[in-house]
Amino acid sequence: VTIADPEAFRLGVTFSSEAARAAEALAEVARQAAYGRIRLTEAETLPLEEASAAHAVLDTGHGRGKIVLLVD
Amino acid sequence: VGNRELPEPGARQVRVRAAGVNPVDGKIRSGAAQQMFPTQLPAVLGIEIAGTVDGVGLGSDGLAVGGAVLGFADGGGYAKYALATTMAPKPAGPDWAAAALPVAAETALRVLGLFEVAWGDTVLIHGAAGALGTVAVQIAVARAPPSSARPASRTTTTCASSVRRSCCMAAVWSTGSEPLRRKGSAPCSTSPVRERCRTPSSCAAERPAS
Repeated sequence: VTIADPEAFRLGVTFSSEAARAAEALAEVARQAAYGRIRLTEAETLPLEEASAAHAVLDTGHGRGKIVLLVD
Repeated sequence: VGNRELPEPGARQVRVRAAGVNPVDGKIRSGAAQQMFPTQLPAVLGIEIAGTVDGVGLGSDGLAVGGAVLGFADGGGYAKYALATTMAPKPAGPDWAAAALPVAAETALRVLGLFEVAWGDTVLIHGAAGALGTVAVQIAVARAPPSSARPASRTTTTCASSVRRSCCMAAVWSTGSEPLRRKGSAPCSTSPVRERCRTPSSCAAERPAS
């Protein structure tokens, strides 16, 4: 299964994109993260005003972890 | 910040403190994802946020005004205020960068669910050095039963390399009678399962041979 590679359609591989958003599941993962049982990659933070810079990194496809935009 | 409607029943308005940036945001922005996510301009990007509840629509559950939350932005998260329906309380520990969690958690749970990943399975995850892969690996490992019920060791290995698509990641636990497909911290390139994982499309969860 892939969540990102459109080649999947040509190759007959499952492409999963339909979000199954569930508040309870999210709450559980958030609790695990708070207990330190799930560790997140360290997010790079940028101010919201630099969203375009964040997207420039995104477009390279070589970002590590996630960028989080901070809103004052 | 443009005009925003009041929260629909069940929704909340959130004073955004942080918004996660996801690859899909870039694809929506560039138009590459127009077919999958039809978007009309003007549009606000951003699908995950953390912040405080600022207004509550009728029929919302438990999350009250002023509470710290994280979740999915309904109509754009790169903003000072956003509407959100699916939210969870933000635990006291993680800072606002917890905004990076909702999409990774949802995607990891969804895909692991597709495979009904269970005890004894070997899971192979591409690009596991990233935000999503890291969470997916840990959730997969967490599905092992408690150690009292687990006869053999559990191994989690992250790849040293973060080069995109070049690496895979195995979260492995064993019943003891099954040989581990991977053990220790050998680089992915030397792993026997590496061959199965050359392209992202071939990446799949697989059950150990019994």
